[in-house]
Amino acid sequence: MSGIIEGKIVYWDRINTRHMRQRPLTNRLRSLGIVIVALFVTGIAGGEIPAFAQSPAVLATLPNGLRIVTAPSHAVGLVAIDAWMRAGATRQPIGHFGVAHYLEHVLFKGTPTRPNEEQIDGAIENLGGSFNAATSFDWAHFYVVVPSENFAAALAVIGDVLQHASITDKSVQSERPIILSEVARGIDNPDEVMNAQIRAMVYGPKHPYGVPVTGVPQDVQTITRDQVAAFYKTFYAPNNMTLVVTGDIAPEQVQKEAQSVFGGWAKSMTLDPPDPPALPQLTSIHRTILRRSASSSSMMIAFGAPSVADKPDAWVMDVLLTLLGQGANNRLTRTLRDQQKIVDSISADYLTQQHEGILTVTASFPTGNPDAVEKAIVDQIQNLRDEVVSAWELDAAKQSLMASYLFDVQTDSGRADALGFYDMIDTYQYDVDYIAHFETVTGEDLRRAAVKYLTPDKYNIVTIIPFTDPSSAQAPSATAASKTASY
Amino acid sequence: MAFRTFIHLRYVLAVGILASMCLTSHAETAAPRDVRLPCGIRLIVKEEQATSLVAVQVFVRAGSDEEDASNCGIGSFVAATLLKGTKNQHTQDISRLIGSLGDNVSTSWDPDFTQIQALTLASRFDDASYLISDVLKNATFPDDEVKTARASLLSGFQARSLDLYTPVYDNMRRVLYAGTSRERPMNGDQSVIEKLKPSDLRAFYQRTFVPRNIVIAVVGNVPADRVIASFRTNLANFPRANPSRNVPALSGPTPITKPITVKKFRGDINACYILAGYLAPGAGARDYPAMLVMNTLLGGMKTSKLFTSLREKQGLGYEVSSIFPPQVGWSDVSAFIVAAPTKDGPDGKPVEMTPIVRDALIEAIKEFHETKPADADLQRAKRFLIGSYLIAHERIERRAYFLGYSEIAQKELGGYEFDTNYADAINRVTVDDVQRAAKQYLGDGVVLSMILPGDPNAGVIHE
Repeated sequence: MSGIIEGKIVYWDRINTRHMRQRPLTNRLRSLGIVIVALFVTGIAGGEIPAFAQSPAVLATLPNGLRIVTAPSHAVGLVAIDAWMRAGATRQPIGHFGVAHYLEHVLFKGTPTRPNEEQIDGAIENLGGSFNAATSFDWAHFYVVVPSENFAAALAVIGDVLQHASITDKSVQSERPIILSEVARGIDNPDEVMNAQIRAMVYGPKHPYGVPVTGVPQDVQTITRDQVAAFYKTFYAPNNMTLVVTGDIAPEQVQKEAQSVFGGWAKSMTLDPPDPPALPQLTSIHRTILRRSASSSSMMIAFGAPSVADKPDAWVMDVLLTLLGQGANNRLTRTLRDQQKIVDSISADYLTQQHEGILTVTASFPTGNPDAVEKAIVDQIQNLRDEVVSAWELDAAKQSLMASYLFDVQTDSGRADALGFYDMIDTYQYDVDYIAHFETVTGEDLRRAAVKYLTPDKYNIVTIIPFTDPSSAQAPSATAASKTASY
Repeated sequence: MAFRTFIHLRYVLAVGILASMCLTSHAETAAPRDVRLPCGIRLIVKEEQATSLVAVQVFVRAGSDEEDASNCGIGSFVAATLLKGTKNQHTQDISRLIGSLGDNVSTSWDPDFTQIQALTLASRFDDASYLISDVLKNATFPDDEVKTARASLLSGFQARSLDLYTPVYDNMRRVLYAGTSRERPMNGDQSVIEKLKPSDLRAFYQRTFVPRNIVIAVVGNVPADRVIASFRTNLANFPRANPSRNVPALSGPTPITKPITVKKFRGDINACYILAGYLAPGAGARDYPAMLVMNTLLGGMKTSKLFTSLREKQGLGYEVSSIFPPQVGWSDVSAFIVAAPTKDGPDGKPVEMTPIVRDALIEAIKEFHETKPADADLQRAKRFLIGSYLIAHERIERRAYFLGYSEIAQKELGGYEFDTNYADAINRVTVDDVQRAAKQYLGDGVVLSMILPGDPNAGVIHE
């Protein structure tokens, strides 16, 4: 699952380290790309689809293993260039937490031909775009959007940075306080604190999904130049990369330029990371309560969820998630916020990942009554296990899911994001099948998935209780807990 | 049965959006048409033949300048209740119609305007035109719906803000705009929202939803003549005339002449949030293009003064930027940095970073103020701005937004034609223009707003 989720909450598993604040625009990034073909398959309103079917995503692979996915759109004279590396936190050696993210920062510090970040960023800004990057558990990616006539020049800059970054001790040292500042900002966000805490509980300290992508401050303090350089040398390789290009451009031109920029790049021979450790098995409810100076209480509950390898379940989970806590008129908001009036906000979240995932429910509520909120959430889970949802509600959830996707994929960058995202954890073809598959999800499928994953007597829960709440007296402080559990 | 129809049309809209991705092309875009309807409402239409969609964007000048302390927040309350009933349609009727249009009709509010946005298939334009016209003419604000909207607004006040930029910016704004409508909370006053009655909303609507306050922009695959005819018909017999009095001139803030510091502490944060705010001209001012370029050079891109100096060279913070929001009348330039509160010194002891970061921020702005930008930097800033503007136009609904915004907020710059001529306006900006703007607006009159980590046991916020 992708983006409708991430538009609402910025988690540590999707960090844009090159972020610069801008005036908020209507821009919920993420999502699918090749829905087009999927819609064609389903035959919905077929009279309007053939135009789309003429420009599907095209895959080409260079001899060195670099995958190139191109999806022309000819929309507004722009082109999105999005380079995805299978070089997220899951590739880090044990004990080197935060290295993947650290490298993403240092890459922009210079190359032999562009010796500082001003020359790299300036080259892209001169082309009318801005260079951005993000690192997650399963991937890192680097992307720009520029007027289409500047495609070749922009690709050359991206190619230079990915292949020829100068990883110097000076650049590693100078970036350290910036990354520590980024980590401090994350700790100020209650949702990010809960997310880090719940991941630590679900996955444990040795699983790469159990530690924030940035690493904890102690990790950031001790990362060395050699660790960063070794990670770069091993995982930044053509056979570990997918170049996605969308917009006003032809696949042939993309492939020709990509061959020119990346064709001489040598393969890496040591890419396979070790399998992550097995997840601790839950036999009951595991709780962590954090005291924190806050104006209201917060809660995050994590249930099990499928990995991308279990595609049928992943598709079902996306519909289930939308019905439960994402779509218009979703159950959690309708019941807990609008009817029972016990929460100020509530939503559900599920990020499709390479390994086992989690479905989380996050709520913010007035102080004093966390038990009632938890019980009401679990009641909704129980309902999903006990009763098959109505055809009406199922259809509404599917529509909501589709509308969100389509809103996001209107733009070249949104489409490139979706294609690359799925190619990192599976293949870009995942999207081709996606709509067709979730269209076939039935009410009984939802009930079956709820029984399999959403266990009302076995889950992890983190609650943040303000100091001003008398019931917080027995709870550890957020700061203290964070030192042992997450930070 | 009605719901099945709704479902089907959402599929159709979905496909329409997808098809538009492939087909939209500037080459098939006509020049905008600009008409004043008989009722007095301004209508701008831009026909794009290579899309199956149409986007309608309505601006109503019903912002904070129409409010006072006694009804602060009423504009957003009216916006939240606008689509909940008219003399011709009950709430359920409107809901059903919106669903049949693809569920992409909504309202919003900011301190300058109430907005209505609609995105639907071009073939459903007439229904969208009818709905929007009915809402502009005949909204009723039913008691039950006002009650529901009030609960939702109040719930919004309680929901946590995950973004600390907003409070640090609001604190600056209260000082910079003292004595004007903009000193009040941007989202309204909670205690006022609790008391406002349906009759108050109706009175505000009657007073502000008048023709001269309204601009409608339409972009999509509907012939301009048909758009004009549709709104001409649907907005005929507009029930409220323009008031006889002229619109009062906006009362401008009194410029401050020396630095003022607003410092707050929160026990629930671990980073320092520091913002330097300066009074600036609004989006319709002659200086607006020069200000855009100046702000881009100051902190609007990664090769800007603040980003390179504070982040890349000094390593003081992760998030570093300056923001120049488009506003009517007056605006502000805010230089912003998020930094870690301490850093290990050479002796291993922690060094308090807040004063160091604050001074570095002010020093960087001062250097910028005193230094003539290099021509290469100026040209890069222009290319970056023009490219960013193009990217911001990717979605058809944003194209309608910019067309309408230019008409209602940037009249002195050419109205809706400014949207088309944006690149020319930016390209005309000279080094001297930028330096003049910097000297005029980045002076000693700065408001330093800081939110800093405080005692975690002392509550959320204290002075």
